[in-house]
Amino acid sequence: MPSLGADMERGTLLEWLVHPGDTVHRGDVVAVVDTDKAAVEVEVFEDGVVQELLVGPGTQVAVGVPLARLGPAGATAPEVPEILGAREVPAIIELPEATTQPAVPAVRSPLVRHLVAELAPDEVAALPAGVVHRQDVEQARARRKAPEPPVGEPSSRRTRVSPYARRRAAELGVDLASVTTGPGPVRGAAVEAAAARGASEAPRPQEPPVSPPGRSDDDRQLALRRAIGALMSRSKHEVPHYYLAQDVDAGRAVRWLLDRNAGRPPGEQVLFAALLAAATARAVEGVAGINGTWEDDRFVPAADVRLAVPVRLRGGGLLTPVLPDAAELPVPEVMRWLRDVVRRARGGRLRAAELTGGTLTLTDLGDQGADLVHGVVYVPQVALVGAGRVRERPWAVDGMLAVRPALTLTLAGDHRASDGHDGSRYLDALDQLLQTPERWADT
Amino acid sequence: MSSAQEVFVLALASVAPEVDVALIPVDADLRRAADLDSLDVLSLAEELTALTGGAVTDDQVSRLVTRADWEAFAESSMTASAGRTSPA
Repeated sequence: MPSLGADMERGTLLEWLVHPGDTVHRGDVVAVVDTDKAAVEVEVFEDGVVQELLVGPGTQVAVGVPLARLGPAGATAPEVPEILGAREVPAIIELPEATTQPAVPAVRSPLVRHLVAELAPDEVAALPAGVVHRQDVEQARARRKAPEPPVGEPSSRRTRVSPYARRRAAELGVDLASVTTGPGPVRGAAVEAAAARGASEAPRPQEPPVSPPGRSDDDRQLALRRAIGALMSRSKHEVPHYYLAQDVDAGRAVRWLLDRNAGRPPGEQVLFAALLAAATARAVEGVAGINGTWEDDRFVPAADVRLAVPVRLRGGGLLTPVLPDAAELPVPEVMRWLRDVVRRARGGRLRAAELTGGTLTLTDLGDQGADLVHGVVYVPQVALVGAGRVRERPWAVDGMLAVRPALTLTLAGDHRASDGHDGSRYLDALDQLLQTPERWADT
Repeated sequence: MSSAQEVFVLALASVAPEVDVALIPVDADLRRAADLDSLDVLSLAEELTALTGGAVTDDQVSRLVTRADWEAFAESSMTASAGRTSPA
């Protein structure tokens, strides 16, 4: 059971996507795990062959407990029964209105099913007859030329259903044909929303759920608040915090964004949040004690900036995905990452590795938030940058009073790693970057 | 052809599936009523343009405040799109 944050002590295995004997490659999603915060996909970090599944769906285990045994690539799995609770489910849900959809491919491995679910309908149709193997899916992906099917063709769009969405639909008795969603596969959040709206009048499927039902919303909320409370208490107890704040004129940054976004469609626009995230990462250059972790009673500076950005989940919950090499990315790349992780976090499709290893956190309350963040350092990190909302304020410029878009940036620092002077230099560097986005934001 | 209101409901469901549009007054600030952040608003605009075939600029998005604004935008996008695709 991977640790998906300092506040995670245990997790519940929701679903296996592999069987013993399946060949897996580094980065493959092999299971779905329920943490106190959300459902998260777990990937494998080595190539190999699944030897044995050690934990069954619905089982809660502590962080660090082995979930499965992996053998070297080329090895064969021992003859062991599959773990109790793992059941075969169709890779593609057959929907009533999809009269032209391709035949459901025969897929033995849930991992391959998972990969098939990511294919477009025409790619599924192009799969060979008979049993579909991993290499068939990879060849189909390699041949991929067309983008997503056009929106407005729901019968083709809805034939793709994520494993988590499939499970939630079974649990909640939701007819997947009634789930409204945007482009891409049907996700768990859309299924839950459909259930909440009572969108489905279909009878509950006779097949039992793939894995045991999850916790109720109340239980999840309680667990989430407890987990956050435990982490914050630990931080307040262990970390000798100091706090700094700096008001920043955001006029030039806002102007740069307006100029850049002018005439672009929504899908190509960049938000202030992306500019701020990129600047937050770049500002650590030359400032000691801000970017890194506190381990074994000493500060360990990080070689690159792995920026952690909390994402609020709709309906409750919080995940903190990490952007690697954040100081090296141009702002449009950061924006693409933000779009992607927010979408996947809210759809229950974030991967475990994306939630670990942060070296600096940015809490951005956004344009609906409060003016000031008094942050709590996310251990084992040593600093947290807070950003309040950008709003018009009276601002003195060259002895004159003006009205400028402005925000208050804050820094919660760990006195064991840095002091107020370092923190002030950091906030000043961040301010300077926001005054000159044209010099660095696209590079 | 769906009505503009139906298209708006569909688009909002893709961004904020837990929100019941029927509970949002037409003159309410949609961001506040549906608890949308900047990225949600951008995604909503993107989804609406995809569903209607229309186009929207950042200036237009910034002027969409109330639910009525968004539904009117959906209506105009659908009309414009139909005009482009109808035979001469």
